[in-house]
Amino acid sequence: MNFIDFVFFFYMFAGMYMMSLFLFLYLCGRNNLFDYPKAKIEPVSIVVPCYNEAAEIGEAIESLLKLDYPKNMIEIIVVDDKSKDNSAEIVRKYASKYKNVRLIVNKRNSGGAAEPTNIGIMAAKYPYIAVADADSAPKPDALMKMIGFLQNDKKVGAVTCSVLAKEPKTFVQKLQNIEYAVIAMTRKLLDVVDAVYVTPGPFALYRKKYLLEAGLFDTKNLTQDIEIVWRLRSKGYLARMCLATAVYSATPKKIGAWWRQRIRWNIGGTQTLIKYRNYLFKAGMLGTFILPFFAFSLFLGIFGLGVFSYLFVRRFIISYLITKYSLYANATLIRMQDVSFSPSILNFLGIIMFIMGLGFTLFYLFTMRKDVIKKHNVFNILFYLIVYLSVYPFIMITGLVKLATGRYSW
Amino acid sequence: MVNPKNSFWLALVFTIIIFLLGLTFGYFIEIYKADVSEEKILGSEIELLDYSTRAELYKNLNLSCEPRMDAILKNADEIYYNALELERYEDSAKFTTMLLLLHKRYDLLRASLWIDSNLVRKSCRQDVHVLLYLFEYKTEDVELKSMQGLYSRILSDMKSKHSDKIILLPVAMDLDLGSVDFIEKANNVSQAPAIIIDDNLVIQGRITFDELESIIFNRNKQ
Repeated sequence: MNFIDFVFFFYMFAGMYMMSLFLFLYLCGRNNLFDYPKAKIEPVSIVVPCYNEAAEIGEAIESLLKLDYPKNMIEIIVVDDKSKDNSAEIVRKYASKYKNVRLIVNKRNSGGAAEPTNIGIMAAKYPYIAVADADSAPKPDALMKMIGFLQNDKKVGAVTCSVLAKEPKTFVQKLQNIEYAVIAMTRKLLDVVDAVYVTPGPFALYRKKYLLEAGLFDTKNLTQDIEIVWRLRSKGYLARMCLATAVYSATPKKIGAWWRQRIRWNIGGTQTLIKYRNYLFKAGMLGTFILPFFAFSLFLGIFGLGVFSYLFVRRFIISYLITKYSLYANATLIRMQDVSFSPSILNFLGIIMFIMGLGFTLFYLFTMRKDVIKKHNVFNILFYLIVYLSVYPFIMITGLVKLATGRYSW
Repeated sequence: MVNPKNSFWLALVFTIIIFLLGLTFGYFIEIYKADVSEEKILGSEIELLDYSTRAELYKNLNLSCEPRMDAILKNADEIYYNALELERYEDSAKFTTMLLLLHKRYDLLRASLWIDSNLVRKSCRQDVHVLLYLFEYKTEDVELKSMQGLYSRILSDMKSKHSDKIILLPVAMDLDLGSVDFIEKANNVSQAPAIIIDDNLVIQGRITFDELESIIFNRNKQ
């Protein structure tokens, strides 16, 4: 067995371990996946950071006004980050119509969501803060099903719910729809072992006191929604995942926008990893699982891409040279024995891995069938597993290069 | 109910079990492939022994040498195609060294056949040519692999075009076989890939199919 074989076996083992882990987590938590604690009606401030969202902000406010929660117990604070479009005008109209809608216009464009969110939190009157994206729409029951997690356990500082793709139309959006459903289920399984590591921006609920204690959202981090959870966790607080409700979030329609979004997420994730590196093996699940899991995933992605690139380039050069020499020598270019294939144990393990991955994806989609489209195109699922996920190492590398060279922005 | 945090250990144990089962399965598949190859090599060895016995008989009975050459051609072809299959198996072998040992055994068989072939050729049919193809089995060098890929293609084209006039015997140079080392030294082979034509001419470096064909079939006419 050579080094490359060893690397392949290692990857197979790591992949199988993660799938086995999720299988056992599911077995442990399967009876409570969709459970949520009973809620008391307490006032909530909903902060909506907004920049150039004229097309979506109206719908976002409407969805917040439609929440199944007493209207006098909600205030909606939209913080406009000096939009160039008429977002502020639209919000102003809602503010004049609804007493519980407020508009704050930032003095400058901060270039990210963290600063306007922090401004909104500082202006909030109530002890619970919901943060919502200006292009997202939570289900009406979202707040009611999520708030109980905070009320019933003083250790809980943040709650997230399933983030699902809003009206997926393009092929890229349909793939994200599958991905989001898988991520939601995975996050709930991580919740079984107190390992929720992010409360995504589309809709999340926090305890204001803990946010203030932690120092609010990090304005320098590109994924402030990951960073804040790590910070809360580093201070001993927990994050919970509510699978019983969802928020529908606008997803990139085209591959270019999707690529840029994922690069940003990866840069933010890496920034967070670097910032909290000293917590390795400390602070409970943050240091013993979340941080090593992030670091290990990053290492596996980059190292795997390196090995794959090496093998691919090497194979390409050899094929090119043989073809070039064969043309010169007037010899056969392709023989049957060159394309014949004798499967090895790695191929068998690869097939087992693929079947397990497909099984998990189908099972996740089946479990989430109420919230995501009921019928998934088989081609989309296979494309998601084989192509879509394979792009991630390239995103990781690009993200790292941009982070190292400082060529990134929100 | 199981403590959810034990899932980490349970998953590890479960993965190890699945992995060990997979490895065991893979090991037995390799053993099976080695058995198949061994059976074939045994068949080739028996045929070679049969040929040697017949060769002695023909010599004693002073009969035509034509059947001797036919036997060598048939035997060499069989070994050639069996070895190609073995190479395919070797590419997928991860655990056992059995297939490598079988490869060595095939190389020895071919070296032995090369000696016999040249003897018969000289005394019997000079229109048949014996090509001993020497290559490096373990090399990772890109340029060398590419050049060996070229030689392999040219030689299999040659074998296809002149199947009854060519005895093709590929032998690895780097498997620590004393007899193969001796053949290299005796023929001044300094590098792979190389072709020894009829025990007296060594070809190395870049060559075309037409040039090789001309060297093999026309050099005695000049």
